[in-house]
Amino acid sequence: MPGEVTWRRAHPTTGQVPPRSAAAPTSANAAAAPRRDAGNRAPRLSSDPRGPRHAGPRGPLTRRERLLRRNRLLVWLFIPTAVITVLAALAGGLVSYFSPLLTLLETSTGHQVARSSQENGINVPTDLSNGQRVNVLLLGSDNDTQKFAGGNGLPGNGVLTQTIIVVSLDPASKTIDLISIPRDSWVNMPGANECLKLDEIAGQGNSPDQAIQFERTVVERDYGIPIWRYAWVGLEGFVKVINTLGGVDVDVLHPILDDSYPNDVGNGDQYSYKTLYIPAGPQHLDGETALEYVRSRHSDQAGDFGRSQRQQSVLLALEKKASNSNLADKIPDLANDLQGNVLTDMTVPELTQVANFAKGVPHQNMKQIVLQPPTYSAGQGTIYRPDGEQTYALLPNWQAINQTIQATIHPDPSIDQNQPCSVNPVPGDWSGDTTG
Amino acid sequence: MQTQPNIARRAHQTHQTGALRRLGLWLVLGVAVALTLQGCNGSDSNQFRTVPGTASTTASPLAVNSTGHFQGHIAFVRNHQLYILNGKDDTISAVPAGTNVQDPAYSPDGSRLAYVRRGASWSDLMVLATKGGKPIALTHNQGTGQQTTCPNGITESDAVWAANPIWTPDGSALYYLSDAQKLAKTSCGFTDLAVWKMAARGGQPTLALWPARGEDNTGLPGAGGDANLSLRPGSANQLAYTHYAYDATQTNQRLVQLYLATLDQTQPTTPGQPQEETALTPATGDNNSLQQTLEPSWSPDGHFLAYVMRANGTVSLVVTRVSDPAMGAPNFRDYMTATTVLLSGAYSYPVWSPDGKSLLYMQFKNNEYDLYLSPVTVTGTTISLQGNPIQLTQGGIDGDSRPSWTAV
Repeated sequence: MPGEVTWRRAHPTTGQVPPRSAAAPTSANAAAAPRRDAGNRAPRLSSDPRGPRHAGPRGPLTRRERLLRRNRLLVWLFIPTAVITVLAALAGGLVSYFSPLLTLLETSTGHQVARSSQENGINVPTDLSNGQRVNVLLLGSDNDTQKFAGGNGLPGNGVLTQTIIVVSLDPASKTIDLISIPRDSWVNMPGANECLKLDEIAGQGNSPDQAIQFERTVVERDYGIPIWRYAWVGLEGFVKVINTLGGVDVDVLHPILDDSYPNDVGNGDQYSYKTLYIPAGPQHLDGETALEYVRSRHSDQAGDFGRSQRQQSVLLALEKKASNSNLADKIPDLANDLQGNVLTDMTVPELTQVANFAKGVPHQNMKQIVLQPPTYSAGQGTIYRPDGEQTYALLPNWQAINQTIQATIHPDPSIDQNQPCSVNPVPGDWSGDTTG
Repeated sequence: MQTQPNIARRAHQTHQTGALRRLGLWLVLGVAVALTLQGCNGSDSNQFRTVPGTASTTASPLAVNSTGHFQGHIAFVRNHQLYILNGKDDTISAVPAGTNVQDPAYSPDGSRLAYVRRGASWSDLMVLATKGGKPIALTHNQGTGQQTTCPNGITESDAVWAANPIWTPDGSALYYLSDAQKLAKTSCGFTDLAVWKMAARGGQPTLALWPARGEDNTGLPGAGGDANLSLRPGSANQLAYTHYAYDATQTNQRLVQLYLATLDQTQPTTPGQPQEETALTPATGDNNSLQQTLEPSWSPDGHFLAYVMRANGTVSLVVTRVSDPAMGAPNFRDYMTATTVLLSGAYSYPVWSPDGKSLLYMQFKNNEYDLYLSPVTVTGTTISLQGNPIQLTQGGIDGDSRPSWTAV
């Protein structure tokens, strides 16, 4: 057969190759032979321990040689197949591993909320990496309340924002400032000729986007803080994330005693209450207890302001925990935890930038500010709302607030265009000014 | 004359021997480096012995320092279960006190352990004989779930909290923290923890101390009340504690100070009744900035008070000599003699050894709370810690463990 190559055996001692004979089996013949022929096994002819291939000049192939050759062929076929299979399996594993993360990133990040007409003209830094200070508006709300109302757990449609914190990141000074704004602050409703409490502003939005837009506009125009990005976190996600991280180590600032703590998360009854006691001092809190700690309002005289301090301390402890943990193996769980419980206009590269920046900021460079009375309030107490209902409210002291904001984050003072609000106080239950 | 194969074999053997030597050298070098690095870490992980059955899905196993001998036993809490560390053989045993427990406290003779067992919205005071037996509940605080709205708008439950028990010197009674005053109509809406007293055999609790009012008695309630009780040895009625209050200037600034009250042994107090008490430490420190002093612990001779201080962003362990009677507010003369024995660490809950020669404390390090022990030297009126502290546990205990030490 033209082009056919056969190996011929060399003599075991002389090394001479016998002449080709017609009887010599060809590879074609060998292939036609029975595949297993133990009784007709070819003897080993070469003394070379490495086998016939290295025995010298090529002779006709024995069955063993053919098998070996075929095996080698199979091996070479197997290796790429196996590699491809393993790669496919790995890819499949990675897909299933990162799938929750990808879903989360797809649905929860980069969610741009259009700037309102009142936000026009505000110069907002475009990138953290260019060395400019950027401010992230962190909003937290009890999404369980929304679920009771048949909603989808996002802000707007009556859902209050219980936590309003501006996280100010300054690459130049390598500092992070946490500025808590009291939820009871009596402020202008954007685009309307009325005043409301800050936590109610988001609830006026007909959609999550509008809710976030309203809240962002107030923080920018009334408090003079240009907002680069926002991030909304639901309390349920907060609990899950802390549990996935294995709890958080917090130095509880003071004994927490609250006999009317809302027992409405995962309970099915939004009007249920429970009694709460968290001793002061260092301790390891699971997600549920951490939520109780940051959410309790009746456990101290400082009420909401005390709560803001607690929220900030847990945020810092959470940041510390995350930076000291190997999060790689927790990525799918964390992504699942946050699914439906977080919404932000930060993109993945921006989130990475923020995380990397935060990692490099020493804890002593993280400052906490709570815009609380008496310094930051012109008056506080019970007021009549426009609908006649009574509510506790806080009239901001804009002069003091502006001074602190200017001294801390140095924004463009021209963006601060707040319209003063008046309150209609309940006689005997109000202290301070009635016009802010 | 050697044959070629012999030469080859010999050469091969020589080669093998050389390889083994090199391998041995590398092993020795590796071990030396490893030992050196361990020395740099300040502790030898080999000296810690794992306690079986203490690992969980969320916690690594607890390990005990096999060289950390001390006299007596130390009770602590891990995953809200009670454990006892035996100082003689460095073994740890779980106490069948149930789950969700905290705040262990040895009786003066070490024969009983008081502790707190938490329910969903209440906690009970429990006592257990250290030689075995069933835990006895001294309180039944669960209540009926009834809610009352007070005139000041605060809603109160009839479920009651109990916490932080300590024994009287004769072991006949316990002082502890509770909000049981809310059950009295006269104090509806007052949510701070007060000090209560209960006979060790059970019975009706009595109010022992109404929360102080913060610095110079001008503070406001509402920040949590009293915490971290410690009775002065030798006096029977001098109680040191941490007091949480708000300052009276309405700035919502929290005052966290050490107080010393002289308890009335003859009759119970009533809600709101003024006490004979004094602030041992000021609420403000350098540059008039707020500082916090908390978690007091008396030395066995009643002369020294160890406590935690938080000031200027750092946490320290401080010891001060306290006169009898104490010289607290307004001049704080005793406080002026305070010595910082450990600076800048996440320290908490100092406890003196029964012989007063060591100080036990907790420290948050490597993402876990552990027990540390340090010998103490007293020279005249000054005090200092000697040598490197000994880490007694590894793997973490509860941060709110509040350890208790008995000599027996």
